[in-house]
Amino acid sequence: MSEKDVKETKSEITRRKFFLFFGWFGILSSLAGSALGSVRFMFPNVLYEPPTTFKIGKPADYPPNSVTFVQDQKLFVVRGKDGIEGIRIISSVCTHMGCTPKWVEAKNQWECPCHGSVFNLKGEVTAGPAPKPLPWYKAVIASDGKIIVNSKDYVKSDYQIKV
Amino acid sequence: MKMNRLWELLTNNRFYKSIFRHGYPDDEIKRSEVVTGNLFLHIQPVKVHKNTIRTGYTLGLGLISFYLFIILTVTGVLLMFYYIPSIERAYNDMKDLEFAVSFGIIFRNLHRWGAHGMVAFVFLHMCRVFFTGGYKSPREFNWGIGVILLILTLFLSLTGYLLPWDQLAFWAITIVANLIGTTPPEKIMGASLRQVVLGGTIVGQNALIRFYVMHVVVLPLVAAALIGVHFWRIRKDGGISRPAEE
Repeated sequence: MSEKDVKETKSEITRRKFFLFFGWFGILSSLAGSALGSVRFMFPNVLYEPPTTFKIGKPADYPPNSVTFVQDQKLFVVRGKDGIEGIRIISSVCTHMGCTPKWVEAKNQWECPCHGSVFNLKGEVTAGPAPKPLPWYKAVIASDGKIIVNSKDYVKSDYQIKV
Repeated sequence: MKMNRLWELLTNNRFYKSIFRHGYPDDEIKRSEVVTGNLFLHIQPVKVHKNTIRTGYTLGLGLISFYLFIILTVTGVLLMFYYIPSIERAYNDMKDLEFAVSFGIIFRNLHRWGAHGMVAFVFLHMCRVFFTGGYKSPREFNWGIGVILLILTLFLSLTGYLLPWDQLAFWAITIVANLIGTTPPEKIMGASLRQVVLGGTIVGQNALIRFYVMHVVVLPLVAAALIGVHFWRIRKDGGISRPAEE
C-alpha cells in the first residue's frame, strides 16, 4: 500500500459514509431477518401426529393376572401382577433405542430383542444397556366406561385403576 | 493503521491462503487473480468497458431475472419442507403454509410474486436485448439460449400453477392438457402427448406428481445449467453489447 492510502482517516461522517452505512445496514438486516424467519419457519405450529391421550377399550377386555400388548398405542396393559390387583399401563418403548420389549410370562419380565435390556415387573432395568426404567402412564376410566390413557403423564409403578 | 494490521493478521496466514488462491489484491496481477481465481467471479471479465456498466443501458433486467431465480430457489426449497404432492394433502398443506406455519405466508407469496416477476423480467430483458440489437453476431447463440430460458421460465410457471391443487390450478391444467391434446395429428401425437403430460387421462395424482417433479427437479436443473452457459457466453462474446465509443 502506498503512503497516502495508509494515512489516518478522520472519523467525521461524510455523505458517502452515511449512505454506505445505511446501505449495508439495510442489506444485512434484511438478510438477518430472512434467516431468522427461515429458522422459525422450520418449527411447525400444527402437528399431524397420533394423539398422546387416547382410549384403549374397557377394563373387561383385559383378563385378571395378565399382561396384554397393545400394538397401535405402543403399551402394555398390566392387570393383577406384582401384588397389585388393578389395571396399570406401561410403555412398550425400550428406553435404550426405542425397540419393543417382549413380555416373557415364565420369567415375569420384559426382554428387549434389540440389545438385550431386561425390565422387571416394576419396569426397572435389571440387565442390558437401557438407561431408564419403562414409564408407567396415567390412566382413568372415562364416562363411557373405557380406559383413557395419557402417554405424556408418567406415574409411579403402584398407580392403578381399581376394578 | 490499525485496520491495515488487522487485515494483515486476517489474510497473511495459511487458512486464508488455502481458501483464496491469491494474496491481498494490492497490485494489477493480484486484482485480476481475484476474478480469475474465484468460482463465483470467474464468469466476470477481468476488465469491463465503462459503457458496459451504464445502468441506463441494460436496466439490470437480466441480473434482476437471475436474482428472482435465486429467490425462487430458496423459497421453493423452504416450501418443499411442508408441501406434500398428494391430492389428499396438497391443498391443505398450501392452506397450512398460509395460516398455520410461521412466516409461511411470506415465503409462499415471495415464491408466487417472484414467479410472476421472473416471467415479466425475463420478457423485459428479452425486449431490451432486441431493441439494443444485442442478439446480433457474435451473440446469436446466446440469444438462442435466452429463448430456451424464456420457455423454461414459462414451463416452470405452468408446472408450479398446478401445485396448490385448487380450482384455478385444476381447470388451468385441464385446459393446458386439452390444448396439448390438439397437437396434430391429433389421434396419434396429441393423444400420446396428453397421456405423457398427465400420466393418464385425467388431471389426478399422476399428473400432480409429474408436474411436481418437473417443477422442483428437472426444470430448475436445466435452467441453472443454461443460466451458467448464458453468463459464460456473455464473457466469451466480448461482454454485454454496449454503445459504441462516444
